[in-house]
Amino acid sequence: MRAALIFLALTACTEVNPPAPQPQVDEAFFRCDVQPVVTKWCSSFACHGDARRYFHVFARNRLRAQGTEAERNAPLTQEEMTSNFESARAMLADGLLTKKPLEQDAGGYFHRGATLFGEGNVFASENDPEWRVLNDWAAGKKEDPTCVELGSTQ
Amino acid sequence: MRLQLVLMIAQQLAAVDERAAVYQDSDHTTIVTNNVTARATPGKHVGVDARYLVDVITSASVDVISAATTRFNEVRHEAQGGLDYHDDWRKLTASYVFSTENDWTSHTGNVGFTQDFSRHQVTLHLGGTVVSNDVGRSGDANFHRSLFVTGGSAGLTFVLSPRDLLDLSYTLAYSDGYQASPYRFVSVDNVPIAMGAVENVPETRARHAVTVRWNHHAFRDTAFRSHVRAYWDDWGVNSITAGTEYVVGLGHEWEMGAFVRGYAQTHAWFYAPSYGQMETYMTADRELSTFIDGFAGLRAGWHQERPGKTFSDLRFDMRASGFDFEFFDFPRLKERYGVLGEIAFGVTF
Repeated sequence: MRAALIFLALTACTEVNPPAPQPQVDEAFFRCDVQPVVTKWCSSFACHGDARRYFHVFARNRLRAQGTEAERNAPLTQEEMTSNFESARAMLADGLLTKKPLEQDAGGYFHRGATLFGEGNVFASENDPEWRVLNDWAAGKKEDPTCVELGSTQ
Repeated sequence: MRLQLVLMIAQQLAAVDERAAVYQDSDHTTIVTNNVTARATPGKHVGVDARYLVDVITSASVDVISAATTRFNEVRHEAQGGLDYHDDWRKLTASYVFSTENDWTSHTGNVGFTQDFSRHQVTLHLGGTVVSNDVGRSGDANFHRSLFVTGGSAGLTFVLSPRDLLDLSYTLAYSDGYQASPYRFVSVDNVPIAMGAVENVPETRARHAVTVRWNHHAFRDTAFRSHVRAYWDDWGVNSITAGTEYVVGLGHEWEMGAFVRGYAQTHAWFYAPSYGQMETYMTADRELSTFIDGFAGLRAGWHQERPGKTFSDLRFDMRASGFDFEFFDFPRLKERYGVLGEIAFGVTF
């Protein structure tokens, strides 16, 4: 059977898988506007503050990429910030970042977190100002590149 | 009037068969299947058939398990109705299948045609199928995707000798639509900490297969039923399947069989155990990875003809098989093994 596999591999064609075009979203807007929302609502240990989750969020006093327990409250490293940005950008596919935390009655997708704690989904409607932050970022809104996320340096 | 109708239907009912199966594998998946079919011949040249199948699946497979999901239970219902017209030389068939589960609904239409030539020494068979699928996500009212599949087959069956029957067939299927899984995510490793991304595969897929089947009567009441199948598609998956069953007749009523089957497959051209960057197509589907599998088992069948009795034909069949899959480039699961047991009985009246 392994011989058959080798034969099949030799006859298989190979195509090039080009890099996927990524949504052109603003890094500064993410850092100063989106990341605080994601940290507030998504990053608890029972949710996306768990490294086993495909979408996981690094945050102070919560999930950290490395370091000791005493360093858990240190400001995010550049690696962690980049990871948060790229993870959130990847979840723009299929609208997951904006639709998962939105109630289904308002057009959102099923979100295990909405039933896990019995308190409903994160955002009841698209009128929620924090949901609109996520949506604005997905739509390409920009922020002053010199902005500083509150609490990121203390 | 109602009684007359019931009696008329009862008189037309020719055969009922029931088959139950249990599947259990080392990847924490259990499937219990129940399938009942009925066939009637209301006219000399006309047959009708109906089938109902129910699958109960319980799984904590690596495909579905994550920090958020540990196990799922699912029930699938499938119903089929068919009609055929046949005479001594040809047969026309048409059927419709409806299948539904909590995140998937499909409608399938099939047509088929067979024609005998050369004093029944050669049979041409043609088939066509159309499948419309609505893909959802469990618990999700707002996730809807569609997948449309069309396909056809053509083949010839030859009576080569009193001992040999050979069948050659080609099948083609073309899928267009959503073919990823809304539950699966892929690993992307370079960003700079590994992260997950949504699975994305091409919207279209053309599949081809050529199958050769050969039934050979060996000696006394024994026979080999063998097949070889070559498969290829435009996703780069190439596979070969080969199998044979050795069948021994024991008297007029019993038949025993032993069978083996092997399968080898190359991975899809866009499949990778993990990705170094966000690529156009990415999948974590182990069915698109490189793997081999083998099945082996035993079968026992019993069949009694009872002319003139209410039940003119009784039959019973059971089989047990074991299997093993070996995955070469799917890190989360290197091997899967398990057992499959089936039991069936049927009556004709």
